[in-house]
Amino acid sequence: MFGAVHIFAALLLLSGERTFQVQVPRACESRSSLRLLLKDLELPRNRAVTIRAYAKPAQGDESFIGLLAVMGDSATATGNRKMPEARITATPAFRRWLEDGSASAPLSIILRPFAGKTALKDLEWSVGAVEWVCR
Amino acid sequence: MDRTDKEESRRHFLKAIGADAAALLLPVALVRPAFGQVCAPPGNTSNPTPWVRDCRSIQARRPASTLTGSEITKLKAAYKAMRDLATSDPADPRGFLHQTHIHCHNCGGGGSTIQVHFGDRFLPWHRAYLYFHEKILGTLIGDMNFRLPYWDWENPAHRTMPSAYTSPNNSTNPLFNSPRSMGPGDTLDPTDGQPATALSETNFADFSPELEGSPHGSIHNAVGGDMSFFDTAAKDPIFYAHHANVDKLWSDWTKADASHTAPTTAAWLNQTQGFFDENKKWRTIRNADVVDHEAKLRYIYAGRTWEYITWLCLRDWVLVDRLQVLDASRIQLTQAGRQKLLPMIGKSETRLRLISPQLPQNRSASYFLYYDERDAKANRGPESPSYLGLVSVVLMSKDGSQKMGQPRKLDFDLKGKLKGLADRSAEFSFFLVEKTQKGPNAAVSKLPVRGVEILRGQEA
Ligand SMILES: [Cu+2]
Repeated sequence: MFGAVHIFAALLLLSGERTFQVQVPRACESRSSLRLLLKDLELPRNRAVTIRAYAKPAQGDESFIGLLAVMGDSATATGNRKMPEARITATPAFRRWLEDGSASAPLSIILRPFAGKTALKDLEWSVGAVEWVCR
Repeated sequence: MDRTDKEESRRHFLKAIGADAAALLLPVALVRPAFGQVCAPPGNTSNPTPWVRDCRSIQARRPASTLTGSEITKLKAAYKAMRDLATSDPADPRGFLHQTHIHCHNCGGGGSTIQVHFGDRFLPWHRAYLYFHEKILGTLIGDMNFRLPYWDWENPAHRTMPSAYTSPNNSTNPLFNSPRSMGPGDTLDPTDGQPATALSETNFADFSPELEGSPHGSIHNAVGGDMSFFDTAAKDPIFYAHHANVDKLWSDWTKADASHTAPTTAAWLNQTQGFFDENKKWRTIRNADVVDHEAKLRYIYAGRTWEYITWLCLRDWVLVDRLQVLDASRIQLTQAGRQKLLPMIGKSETRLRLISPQLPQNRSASYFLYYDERDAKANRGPESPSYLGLVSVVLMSKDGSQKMGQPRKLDFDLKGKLKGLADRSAEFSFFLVEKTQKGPNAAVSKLPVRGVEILRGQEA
């Protein structure tokens, strides 16, 4: 059973990366699965988007959390794909990073959209909130 | 599949996963404007014939990068025949364009209401799609032993597109597709195509969306061009090698643990998918028919690598002790380490982890691993008290010129062996003996390692 840990509002931006201020999911550190839920994710249907999530402590380097890749419907599609909830599961490496105590301060969660390796700086998309869940 | 069928499928999936539904990737807009080309199946699909048992011999799907020259020639001939058929008889459902339209139509393209992604039929539908596609390719070249290759993108040695698909990198190559972002020699982003997280999931309802939303989707988007979009993805021949690997990962996950099963509800097992077969007959096949790909669909996956051995052990493991590595081949358990191991004997699940083992790379072979030289020379395998497990080295080319690199770690189950290990007060080494060698004087080689760890299974 999942337990919601933290919900935080997004900083509103129109394009490029999104940043959320999130506390360390301390209760999740030793659990078997740790995920980020992206609430009310909206992506254009005519773009294929790989969202890479990173965590950045107040001091220190950022760490890759995991990714979510959504294909586009069609190059000629119109409108947005709306996902009430989409998930990014933390990689084993990120879990170790958390367990190492590298993230004692509040974490910034940074979501960056890409097409393959290319950053999509002009992508218009939105995420309502980010929530950690663990079990 | 009609609309009701689709909603039933989605409803059933949510029910099956219960409270975890919130964690899934769930696009909800079922009604939306039509997109893409018209891609409905050609011909009459109103009177389906149920799929019947396949009695071909069981053949292996192999990594695309390990195909021999003649296998690549055959693969290209098959796709050329499929492309030619699309021109010579545009109504033939086995032609390449119609084959690509299957994916479009089942992903909401051209006004279709079907979407096989984002739900519990993602894996069985694509498995069935590839199966019929593969049989058609085999029929077109008169070889029913033909099997699709797979692009094992998670293999560190295979992070570029397999060369058969890019060489030559123009339209004279039936495996080429012009709108690709990824060029020959381009490597994947290190975060793309990483299945470890998905493989560590413990139930299908988590495994399937994790595999779909992370490694699967990231490879589509990394290849780019047609592969980025549901309506055009299957126009790129790399699609089929990519999805063969997704299918292999499902197969690997299933084999990794007895508890890793496909859904067992009648609703899921009886879901049907429709495809034209190699004789242009419209067939329906149930999810239940595709779960056992070896017995029913007549293919297995070859080229399992050390990575697979590591994945088998992907759970939560807590470090208990690091053994001393005096030099790469001399290992010592300290007195303090022994004190940590003794209380765990017979009580905890334990693993031995070798960090950066330097496996022999001169040829493909399977080895038994021991920590006692006398046992190694006798080479009695699992019967020996110091036997740790089997290590397979698979070279990526027959002449050994393409090495697969060394694993970062290898894990071995210490069930029933912890006491023997804890009793070692003197230095010891790890020994490899080829599985086929016979004792009592088998050729033994020491296995150098950078580190040795004992881990304990973490309770949930
Ligand atoms: Cu796909």
